[in-house]
Amino acid sequence: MRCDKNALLLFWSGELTAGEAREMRNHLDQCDECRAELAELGEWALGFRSEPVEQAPRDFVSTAMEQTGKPSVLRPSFLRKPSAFLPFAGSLAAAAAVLLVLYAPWDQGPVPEGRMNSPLVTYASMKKRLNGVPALGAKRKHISGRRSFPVRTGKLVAKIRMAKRAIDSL
Amino acid sequence: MTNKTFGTTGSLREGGKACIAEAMPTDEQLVRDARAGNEGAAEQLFRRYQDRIYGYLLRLTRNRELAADATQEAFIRGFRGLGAYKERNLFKSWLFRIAHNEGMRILGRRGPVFEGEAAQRTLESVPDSAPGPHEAYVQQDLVRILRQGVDTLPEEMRVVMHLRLSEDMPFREIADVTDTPLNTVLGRMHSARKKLKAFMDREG
Repeated sequence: MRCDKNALLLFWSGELTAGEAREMRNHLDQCDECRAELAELGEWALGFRSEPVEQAPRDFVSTAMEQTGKPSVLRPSFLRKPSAFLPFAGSLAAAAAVLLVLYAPWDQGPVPEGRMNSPLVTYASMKKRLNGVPALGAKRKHISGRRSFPVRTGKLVAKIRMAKRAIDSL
Repeated sequence: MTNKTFGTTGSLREGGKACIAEAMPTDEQLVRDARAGNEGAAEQLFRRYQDRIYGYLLRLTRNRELAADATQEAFIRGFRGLGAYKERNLFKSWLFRIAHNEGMRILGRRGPVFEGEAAQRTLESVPDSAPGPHEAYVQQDLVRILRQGVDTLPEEMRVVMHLRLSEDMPFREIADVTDTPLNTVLGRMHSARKKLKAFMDREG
C-alpha cells in the first residue's frame, strides 16, 4: 500500500472500515514517515485536550432562553405545524356539519317541554304512531353508501321537518 | 462483595461509575424531554455545551466580544430550532453547525482579518496558559506554540484544527458541521499541518 495521507488522517480519527484499518496498520509497520506523522498528530491532540476548556459567561443559556421566550418545542404540535393538522380538518368539518344538521333547532319556535329533541328517537316513535305512512322519499331507491353527502343530508333534513310537523300536530 | 447500593458483583468503583452513567441523561433523552415541555431539560442540554461552543467560537473569531455575541445568537437559534432537530444527526454536530454558521456570519459582517492584526489580537484576547508545577514544561511549551500557530492560520483551517484536535470530532462530522466535502476538510487539515510545522520550526 502506498502512502495515502487522507487514509492516514481517517485512520487517526477512527473512520476507516475494519478492512481499511487493517491495511493501514500493515502499511504503518513498514512506513516510518507515516508512523512519525501519526505519532505527531496524536501528540498534538493530547496537548490540545489537556488544556482547560474556556469558561463561558454563566448567563448565556438563561439569557438565550429569556430572549427566545417559550421555545417552539413547548407549544402544542398543531400550533407548531398547522399544516400537519390540515388532513384532519376536513373530516372534523364534515362531522361538525352532520351534528349541526342532526341537532340544530331548525324550528324557531319553542320546543315543547318533555319532548326529546333527538330526531332519531322522534322519527321512530312518529313512524309507529302514523302506522306506516311512507317517509318522504320512500319510493325512491334504497339508500346506498354511494349517495353523495349533500343528498343524504337533504333527505335527513326533510325527515326531521316531517317529524317536527307531526309532533306539532299532536 | 454484597452491596445494596451498587449490586452484588461489582466493585464500589464500577458500581459508582454505573450509577453516574445511569444518572447522566443522554443528549437525545434531554431533547425528547425538552420537546415534551421540560424547560429544565432544554437548559441542561445547552449548558452542557456552552463552554465548548464558546471556546470554539473564541478560536474561530479570536475575539471575546465576537465570540460572546456569536455564542448568544447560536443558543437563541438553537432554542428556537430545537423542534426542527432531527435525531438521526448527533445533537453536538447540529449545535456546532449552528455555532459555526453564526461565527462565520459575524466574521463576514466584521470583514476580513489581516494576519498581523489577528496575531496581535490573539495575544491580547486569548489568555496564555502558564506552565503549572505539575505539568511537563516541554509539553506545555509545545501546546503554547501550537495554539499560537493555530491562531495564525486562515479561519477554515483553524476550524478544522480546533474541531479535530480539541473536540475530537471525526472528519466526516467536521464536514457536516462546516457543510464542506470530506476531501476538502482533509485537504485543509494537511495544509494546516504544513503551516503549523513551518511555524513551529520558526518559533521552536
